[in-house]
Amino acid sequence: MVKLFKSTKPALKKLTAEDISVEISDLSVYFGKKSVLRDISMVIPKHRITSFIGQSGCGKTTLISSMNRMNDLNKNHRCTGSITIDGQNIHSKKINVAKLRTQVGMVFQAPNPFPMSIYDNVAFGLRLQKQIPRRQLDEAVERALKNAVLWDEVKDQLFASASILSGGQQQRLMIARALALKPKILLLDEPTSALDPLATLHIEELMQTLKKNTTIVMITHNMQQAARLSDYTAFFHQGELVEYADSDKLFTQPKHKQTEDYITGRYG
Amino acid sequence: MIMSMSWFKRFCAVNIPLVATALLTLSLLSILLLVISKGMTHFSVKPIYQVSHSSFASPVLGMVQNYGAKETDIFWFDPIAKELQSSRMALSEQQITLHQQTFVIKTRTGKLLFAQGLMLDDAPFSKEAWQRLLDENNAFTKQIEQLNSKIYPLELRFAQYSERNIPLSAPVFARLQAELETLHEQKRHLQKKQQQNRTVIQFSDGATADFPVSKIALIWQPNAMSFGEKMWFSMGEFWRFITSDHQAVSGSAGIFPALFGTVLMVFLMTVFVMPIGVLTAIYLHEYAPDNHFVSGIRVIIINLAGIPSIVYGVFGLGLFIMGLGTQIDQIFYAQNLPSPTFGTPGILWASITMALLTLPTVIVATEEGLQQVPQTLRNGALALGATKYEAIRFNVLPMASPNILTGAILSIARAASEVAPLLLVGAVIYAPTLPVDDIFPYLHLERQFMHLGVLIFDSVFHSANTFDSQSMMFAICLLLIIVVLSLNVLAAILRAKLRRRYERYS
Repeated sequence: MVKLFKSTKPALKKLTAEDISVEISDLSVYFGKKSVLRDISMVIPKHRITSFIGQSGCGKTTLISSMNRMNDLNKNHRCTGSITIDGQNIHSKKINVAKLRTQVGMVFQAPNPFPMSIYDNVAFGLRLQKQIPRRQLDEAVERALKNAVLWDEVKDQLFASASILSGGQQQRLMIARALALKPKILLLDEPTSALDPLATLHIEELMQTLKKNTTIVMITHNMQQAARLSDYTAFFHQGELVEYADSDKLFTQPKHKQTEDYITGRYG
Repeated sequence: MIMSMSWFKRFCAVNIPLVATALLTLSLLSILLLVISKGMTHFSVKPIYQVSHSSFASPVLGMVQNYGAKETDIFWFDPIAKELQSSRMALSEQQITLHQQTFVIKTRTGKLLFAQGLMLDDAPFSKEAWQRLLDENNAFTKQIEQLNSKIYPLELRFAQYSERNIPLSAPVFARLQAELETLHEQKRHLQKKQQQNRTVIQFSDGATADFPVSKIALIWQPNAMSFGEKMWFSMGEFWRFITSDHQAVSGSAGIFPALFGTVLMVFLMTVFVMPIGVLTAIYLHEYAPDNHFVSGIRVIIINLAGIPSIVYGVFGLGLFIMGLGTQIDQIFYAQNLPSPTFGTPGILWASITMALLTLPTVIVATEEGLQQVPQTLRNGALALGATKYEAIRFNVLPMASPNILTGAILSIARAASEVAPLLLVGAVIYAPTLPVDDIFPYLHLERQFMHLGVLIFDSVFHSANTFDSQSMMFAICLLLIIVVLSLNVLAAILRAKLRRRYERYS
């Protein structure tokens, strides 16, 4: 508990406007008639790691997909309330959704490498933005792969097909792919659920480095991981935000009975 | 489950599918074997027998078919009419003999002469002497062609002078005329020399006739050939068959124009059908809303594949030729009217009609391919800031490309083997010119073309009763199978390559 006193992070309620990356207010999401999220209001602090925990199907993935409007792809999707990123409402008509998604990167639960070479996978997002000279592209790809701690493993086979990589390497490739665009926010959906302990360690170290200039939102089912890695943790239950606090606080002195039951493994 | 079955049920469950598969394989193999064996006989070297029969004044030379049956077909050479005749008669063993010294002479027009003996420049036939004569003849032909290429521009200038009303007495005219005269003189001299190379043919009735070397294409002695020589000769025949021009008059001739027409039509059809089919499938699968109207369209497209092909032919004739083609003629080719340019059957309309015919195949195959691309891949691209178009263009289409190629294979196989609609929209039994030549614009889409399937159709119903009409039909069948198979194999190799590249991602 020594760590608690050493912590320099401000309490959630004391965050100033500059410290807030995403502000969600009264967000409700429906798929058809089914209500998936109800009246979610929360702020996500800048350059910190925020973990979302909760049972499967409680709406965590829906919430992070709302932040880069990936939910729009579902034809039955409907939402009320607002999400503001850096002072801009992302549901406003002025927002270019493709542009938004370059700034709010997302890594899915299962690695989904594109059917091309490792290099092309990382360069994919940059190439879509056009006007990048070849040499700059090379540099950007190298930087992204180094940031994702994958460079040393793939530098000799950059032009090999991405499918030759192992699961953990593919997951890091997905992170590199998102990092190449230098996103302000990185959304990770269970990034380590399919990985062995060593690969998990790699990715956790990676997140610690990334948080210097990126806001990270992560979904996890691993309580230890949420506790040791994230600055803030939010617990969801059946589409509602039950408790959202400093990780140390949430895992040591949960306010709600539901939270306590979940983190102690009494259900879920 | 299996344990509770009686032995009979078990026996049936295993053996009925096995027998069905075996039967199917057997029937496919037998079709292939029949076509191959019958088709190959077209190129084989057939022996020439001497046949004596009461209906012939003197023994004749001829090919014998079905020998040993009650009635034998013989295709014999009539020495008086100098033509092949066919008869059916009962023949006994004593009535036919095989002579080593029998010649078959193929003229440049494709006619066959059977001869008892052959003299080259008063010397008996030998291969070396014949080769020398042929070389000499070719040299003459070449020289005459060179002279012709000199004469042609001079004659053109001559015509221009007369158009400009330059008097015949003018010195330029006189000089030109003199020049032309000497060239023509040279040409006549060469032609005369070429005609001097003669062969003397002795027919079966003992009569002899002079025959200029320049009119002979090929001489062979079928009865004296060794096995190796026969094989070599057959290969030569096959090569001539697929590379030389078609001559409707003589009957036996090459089918190069039909081969070319078939491949070109299929190629053009692919060019038309692939973009339209793939774009339609992309719209239906990726963009179209999920409602009754769209599923109605999908049902219609699938059912289009079941419409009889002749209906497409009539449709193409009505819409493209009578409608569109006539309009094009009135707007762009008014100076040629009343003779139509595009308002008549041609390779363009034929390939567009075939494209319509094969469109459902391509759409269905492509949609299947798009369905197989995992949704996560699309999401991955979209999450990196790709628009829907970019995600489809760079991620979905490459993954679906093996299936798109499957669609192409199926449509190629269908288009190459359809005959009925082609008869209405552009394929003919004999086309004087190829749709591609060296005159601008090189590809003449308005021209009619020849097609292997149409030639088969024609040889079944209208062919002259010559000795090789049936074997020629099978030979064309064989060639059609080879064309379709090789196009398929090409596409299949490409598809296998793409599959290997993408299979690990889905």
